[in-house]
Amino acid sequence: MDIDFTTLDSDIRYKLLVGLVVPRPIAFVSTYNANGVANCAPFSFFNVVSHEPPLVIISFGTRDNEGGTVGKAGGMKDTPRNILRTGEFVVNMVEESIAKGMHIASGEFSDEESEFEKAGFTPVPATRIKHPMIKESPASFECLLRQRTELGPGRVFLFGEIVMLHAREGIIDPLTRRVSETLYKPVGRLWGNRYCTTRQRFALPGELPK
Amino acid sequence: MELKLSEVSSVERYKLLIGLVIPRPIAWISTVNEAGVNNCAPFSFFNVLSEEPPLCVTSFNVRSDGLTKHTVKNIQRTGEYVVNLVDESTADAMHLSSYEYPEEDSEFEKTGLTPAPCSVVKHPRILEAAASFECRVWKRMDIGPGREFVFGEILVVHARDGVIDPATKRISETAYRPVGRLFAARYCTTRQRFDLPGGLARLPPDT
Repeated sequence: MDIDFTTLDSDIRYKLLVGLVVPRPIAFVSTYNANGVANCAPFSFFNVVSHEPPLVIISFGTRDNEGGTVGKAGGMKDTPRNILRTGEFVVNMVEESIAKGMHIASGEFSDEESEFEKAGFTPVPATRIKHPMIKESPASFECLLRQRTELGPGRVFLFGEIVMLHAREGIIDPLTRRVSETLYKPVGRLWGNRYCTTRQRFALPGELPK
Repeated sequence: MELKLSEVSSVERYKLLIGLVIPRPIAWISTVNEAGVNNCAPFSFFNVLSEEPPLCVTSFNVRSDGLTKHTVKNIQRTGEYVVNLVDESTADAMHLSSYEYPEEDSEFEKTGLTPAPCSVVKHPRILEAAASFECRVWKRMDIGPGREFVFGEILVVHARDGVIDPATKRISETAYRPVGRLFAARYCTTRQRFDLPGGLARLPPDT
């Protein structure tokens, strides 16, 4: 089957892209707004893109997970506004134990409401930047905004340089700096309300799990 | 534990990042070189970024010998490339194509893959792949020593029969079983799926 993407309706384009480019890692981004309300929200148009310098990219749209236009007549989401205002943000990683809260935080709340409160998370101070980290997250990256590319109204992708890394005890071996496969089990993003575990792992070349 | 990344060696930093930012989707990029040799190689510093315009990003490093990767040379020369998506049926071939071969060797031949023509771009797509994106370079960014980002606009999508329903354009969860990238030689399946809120609790206990 061939599909000409240049003439396709953008809602269908969105659904095909989120359905095909999977599994996606999740950036659970935490920030304070101008009034000091702690905000957090998950984004999966995200990845690490460099280790020297250590960079992540996150793309922010104006749509919710169902592909509908959300908030402020399709305006910019709270998270990119807070990042652009301060030049900083925290990326928290998501594992099974906090997946449900992450999903709750993906809902649309007003600017005055804190997703931390709604989803039962605890804001803790970061070391180098002013935004909060999510205490319950297994690992958090303190990031400085390095570059932005605007695509249209409310649609922007940002590059962050990771300056500090925090991890719950046990996740990173202090000596070897290896990440523990038994203690760190993040979830991947699919589409709609759907996610996947990373429990079923294998090495290549070789056979896949039965 | 708290780590200042500027005080961590480059190799350790790389291992920490690829160990923590998981699962990553895989761009299995196919191109043809000037001499007509078909090349393919997987990259997992990759994701979709936008549907309007439809953009994906791939980040490339230099080879272990410090030279530019064949994929990058071919993209720079032509401004085009193909992103193929990897599922369980093609995972082993994808992994084998990640090895560094001399430029005159085709990863298609080494791994038993079939090059198929594209509609718009001059590069081949991988016939066996679950889906393929024909991409035109939208923007390039040079980052630090030997690191380059390529943003591609997706022009045409190909899918193996059964992967996309022709009428509803829905993707079949039984016909398309993608794998995710972890670290070292490790990958994960996406078989164990759940809906939130609530669905995770209904999975069998983790062992």
